[in-house]
Amino acid sequence: MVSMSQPTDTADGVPPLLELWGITKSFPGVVANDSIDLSVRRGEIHAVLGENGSGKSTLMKVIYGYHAPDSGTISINGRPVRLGSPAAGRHLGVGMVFQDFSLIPALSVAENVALFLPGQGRLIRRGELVRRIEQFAEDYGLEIDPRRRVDDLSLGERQRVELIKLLLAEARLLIFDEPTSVLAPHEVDGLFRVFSALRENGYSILFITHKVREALAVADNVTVLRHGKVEVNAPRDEFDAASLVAAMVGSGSSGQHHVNVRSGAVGETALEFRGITTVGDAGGRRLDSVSFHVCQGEILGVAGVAGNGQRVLGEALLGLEPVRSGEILLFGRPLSGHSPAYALASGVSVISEDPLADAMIAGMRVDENLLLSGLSRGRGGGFWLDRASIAGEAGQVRAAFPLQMADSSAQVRHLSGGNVQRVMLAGELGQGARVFLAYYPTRGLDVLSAESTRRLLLERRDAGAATVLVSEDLDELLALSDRLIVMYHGRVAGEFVPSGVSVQEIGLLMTGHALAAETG
Amino acid sequence: MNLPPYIRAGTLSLRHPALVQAWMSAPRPVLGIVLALVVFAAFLLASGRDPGEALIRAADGVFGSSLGLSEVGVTMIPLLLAALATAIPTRVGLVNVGGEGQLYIGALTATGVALFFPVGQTWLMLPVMALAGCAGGGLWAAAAALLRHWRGVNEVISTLLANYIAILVVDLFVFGPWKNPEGLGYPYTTPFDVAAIFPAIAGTRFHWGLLAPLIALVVTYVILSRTIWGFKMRAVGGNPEAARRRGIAVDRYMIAAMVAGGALAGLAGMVEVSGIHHDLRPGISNNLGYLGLLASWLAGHNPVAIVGACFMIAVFLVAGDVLQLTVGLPSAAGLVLIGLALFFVLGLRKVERRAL
Repeated sequence: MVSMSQPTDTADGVPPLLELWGITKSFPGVVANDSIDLSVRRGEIHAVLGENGSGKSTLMKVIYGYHAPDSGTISINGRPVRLGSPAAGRHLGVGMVFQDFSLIPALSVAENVALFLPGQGRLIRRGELVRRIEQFAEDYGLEIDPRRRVDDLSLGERQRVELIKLLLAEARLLIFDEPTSVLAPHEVDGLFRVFSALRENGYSILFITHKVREALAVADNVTVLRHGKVEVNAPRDEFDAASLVAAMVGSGSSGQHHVNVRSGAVGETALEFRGITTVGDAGGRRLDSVSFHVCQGEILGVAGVAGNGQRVLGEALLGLEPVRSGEILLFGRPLSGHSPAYALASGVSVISEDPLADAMIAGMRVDENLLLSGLSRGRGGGFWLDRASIAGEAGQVRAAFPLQMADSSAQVRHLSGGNVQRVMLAGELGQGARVFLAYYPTRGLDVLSAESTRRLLLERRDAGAATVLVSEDLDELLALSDRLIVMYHGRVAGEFVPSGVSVQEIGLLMTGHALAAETG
Repeated sequence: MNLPPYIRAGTLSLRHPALVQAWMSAPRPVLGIVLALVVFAAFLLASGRDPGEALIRAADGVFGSSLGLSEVGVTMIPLLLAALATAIPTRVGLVNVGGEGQLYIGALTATGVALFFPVGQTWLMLPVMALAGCAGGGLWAAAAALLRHWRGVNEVISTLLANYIAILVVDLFVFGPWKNPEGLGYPYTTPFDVAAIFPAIAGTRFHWGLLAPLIALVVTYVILSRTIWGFKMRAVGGNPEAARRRGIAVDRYMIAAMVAGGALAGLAGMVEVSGIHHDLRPGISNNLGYLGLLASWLAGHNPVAIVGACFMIAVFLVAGDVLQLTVGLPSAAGLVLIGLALFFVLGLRKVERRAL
């Protein structure tokens, strides 16, 4: 395993540009950052690596001054500072390139930059500004025409504008939040060349990513976050892909997690994807010849970094994503060109990864949301809406669900994330569906609720339900799954039984490494 | 004298907790209307008129005679329908600004039946005309709903623009083929046969067309609050993506709600030509579609509250006419009052939200 190194390294006597000591930040019900130490020297590229929900984005917002930490110290150039706001961070030379850019589309590049710069006064010396933008663009290989309107620019170009803005504002520490998520592959290489050029000129770069390859490609030092804590922090040379993946997803050996003692036999095939290919709006394949099956009384785990086609599985199953080729079979009968209503009535349940976005009506009460869930399975129907029958439905769901749940009369918009998740789980797991597609079912739950939810999934399995479990948490997948598939770039990159595979092997497949090796 | 705590040394301290408390405890719409009247009185003072006298004259004109009351009733009939035309689509998250145009088209189709398909006695004629009005307004609104469904065209823009087209379409007919040959060149159609006219009530302009909004209100209320349809409409309006994934046919509900709204606006047009004008002519609506929109927003799109909002708007409109005759104010005074009331009622709603 990799050795821990002290964050402070002042061999040359110069304090680090940025130093964090014991940064802790909690939100109701979750500790997003737990005593995090981190330091970035001048001219260093530092990658912060972690899965979704590991606390990366919160940490960056703390550094940028958007969140105030609950405890801990931030030092810049060796002096402790209080960053009360993004403006304070900017003042100290900390700049952030956001995932969703803060540019005004109707204005030109130069005008956007002018808006951002302090002390411009009322007059914008446009010619001067254009010249300076062009100078920076040339120095760092950031091709951009300052006179173009922002809405004509690609996402990659807009990212360059954001960067130039910060450079002109004399930021010395540049924070990038998942900078490559909006870029095409060739643009990624370009961005990394820009990083190197910036490093040569003494800028420091802190970038967040969940892609192991990127950290290895460009970083000098790597910090891996897991569950809000620093899992490991070391120079890049001490890592290889396998050790980084292991740090990200948890290093426990797969064997010890097997709580999955099956009591029933596997039944007939409930759901099968046969060579499913779907094509997105931009023309790329969202799913590429995906084949798998799951039987009654079985849990099929789907591992993979988010965004590798997992979400499309649910859309195809519900009939929201047109299938270009291949066949989806539900209990042996083909589903094609079907509506969500048909899939739901046939016993499918999709447990959403983002309940407030696409599963719950925030402006409705808890019991009304449970009724909607019941209606989708043909329960509590009819023409008249009867307050008593809503209460009855909610009472039944409540009785069948072992977790604490918010009051029936509470509006969902007022519930915490964990409570929303529990209401959704109650509606889905309690309503007699036979095929579950569960996305991150324990996300946002406290430890106890998460454990109960896992037990509930196993109970459903033992009662004959077929479950496809999508998760980024390998420990959870290994604990619950009877079989596992790994998804990468819309494809099934491998299939295993949990006892026959190591975390490292799965991690490599998740990041596309073994696939690359196979194809040469 | 025992002054309330928020008045000190003759000045009013607007941020005093006791005053804020008083604000918060009064019903918000009532407060808004009171504030509107206060500002309006200030206008009157500034223009050298006595607000007290104007208020008394207006109140007497509106409530002190059967003429005034019947005018309020006559105005409320189409207003209620136009308000529902906005309120129903808001349940599924759509904004129908096209009540005015749908009203005109409904008047046109109802007139078509009255002039060219006289199906018989009043009891048969009026329902058929009402259906024709609903169909006209509903189809006019369907165009906007389908444009949104197929092409993603924003319904606010399309329904608004369709208003101008609808008004011109009516002009096209009344200046052209439907013009009364004996009408001395005026752009009116031939007067309706007596079977196509809502009978007046007690010799006033108030007429039995009032049944239309009454039925529409009850049916709308029951469907929205007491049926699974209404429940699913709320789900669609609350979160269309979640509704879709719950197996609700979101697009169908959206189109249906828009068509239902358009149909009620069209019914308002039918009621106007059949109950008031007894022919079709330009300018039959006088902004009723837009005023209905205001009423719906004032009432928070709640069918019960809409009755109150429409009553208030009708009273202000009639009061504007009274003030024109008695105090010599322009009749637009009524519209000024309505505008002020809307401003304060919606503004207070905002204040309330921030105070929470």
